[in-house]
Amino acid sequence: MNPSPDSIHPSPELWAEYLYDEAAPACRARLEAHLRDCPDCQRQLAQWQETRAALDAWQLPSPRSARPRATAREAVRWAAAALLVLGLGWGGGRLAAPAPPDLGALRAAVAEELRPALGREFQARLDTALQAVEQRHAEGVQALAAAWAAARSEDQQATLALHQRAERQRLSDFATLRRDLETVAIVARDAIGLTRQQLSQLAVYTPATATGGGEDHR
Amino acid sequence: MRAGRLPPLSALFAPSDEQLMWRVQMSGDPGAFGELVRRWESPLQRLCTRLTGDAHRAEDLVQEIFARIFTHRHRYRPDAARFSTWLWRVALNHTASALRQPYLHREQPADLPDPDPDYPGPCADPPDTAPAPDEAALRRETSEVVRRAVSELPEAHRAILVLRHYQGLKFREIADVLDLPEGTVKTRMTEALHLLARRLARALDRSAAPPAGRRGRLPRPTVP
Repeated sequence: MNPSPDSIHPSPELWAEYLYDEAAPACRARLEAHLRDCPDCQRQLAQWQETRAALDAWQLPSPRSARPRATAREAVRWAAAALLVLGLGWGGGRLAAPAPPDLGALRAAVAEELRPALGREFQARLDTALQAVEQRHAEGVQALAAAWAAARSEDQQATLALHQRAERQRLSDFATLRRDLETVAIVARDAIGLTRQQLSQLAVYTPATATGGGEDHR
Repeated sequence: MRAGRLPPLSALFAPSDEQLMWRVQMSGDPGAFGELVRRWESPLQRLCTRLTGDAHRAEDLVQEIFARIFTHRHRYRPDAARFSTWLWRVALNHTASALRQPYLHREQPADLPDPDPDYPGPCADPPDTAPAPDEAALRRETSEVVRRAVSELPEAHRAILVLRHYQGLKFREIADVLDLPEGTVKTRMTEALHLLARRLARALDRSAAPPAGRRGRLPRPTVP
């Protein structure tokens, strides 16, 4: 991370790295070169360092489970362990370097051992999945058949209802027509009777009228 | 974990945190979890004390954090983050959540001695060299001022400052823990130092405040 060439002062990010010793050496050198000529940044950095120092005034007591301090005995143990490791390494190297493990053969052996187990597991999982698919398929077919039967029954009931309604309408129309025809017949019979009566009366009166008054008409 | 002194020889052959966590995930191994607790109890205690400013509350929080770690152990993905990163993240989230809740325990300065002289509490080890009474009082006063100033920082700034300054994490590690860009972490760190400088200057009546006329010349961090 380098200071931006466009800005007069390095960014706070760079100063944060500088304050906590995380800046790369080249970046650190550039920041120090800038500091030499920039009293503003010197004051700013001094303020931050003073704040950091003040933060250190807040000391916590030693925790209950803190590790015990390293003692001389521990250092001696480390030194002995280092000597032992060095000696073993030197001795081992002198004797012979162990042949590196044949990774290809090892991998082949492991694969040979694992293949049957993996195959069985794969087959078991495949069977389980197929059974699940078949079961879902059968359930779907059953549901479809039930739905089709329900729809058919509903259609039949609707057709029957329409037929019954049409039959009732036909019977009603027939009764109405019959009543009308009977009315017409009665009226016609009455009219015929009346006409017949009038004709009879006319026949009674016709000869007298014809002999007595024929010449008047003429 | 960071240790400035020589670690014990047995640590050379000890399993890593990730290996222990794997055992905890696989079989709930109490021994492995106990080892993780032993390794991380002190760093977490320090973190929570710095974040809350209250050593007693920090003790409660550390227990809750470990309980949470065990309960949600299956959520840890070793291929996604180191165990330490995940642990810091859980600890920060839990502490931030707890700080938003009311706490019935009486707040007490973190480094003051326990009021009960018979109970050694978390500060069982006495200091190696006892300072003079007036010097000890001055230290306690300064420490309390700093504790209050840190506690008053905004949450985002306080977490970064504590992780970097007190816990010694690198900016890159903090960025991983907080899931933030590294540049943002660094900028917030300088903002935190700015805020602290102002508060400490007021509290300690020192000449740490920024000099007049400085504004506008230096890149001034924006304080949310």
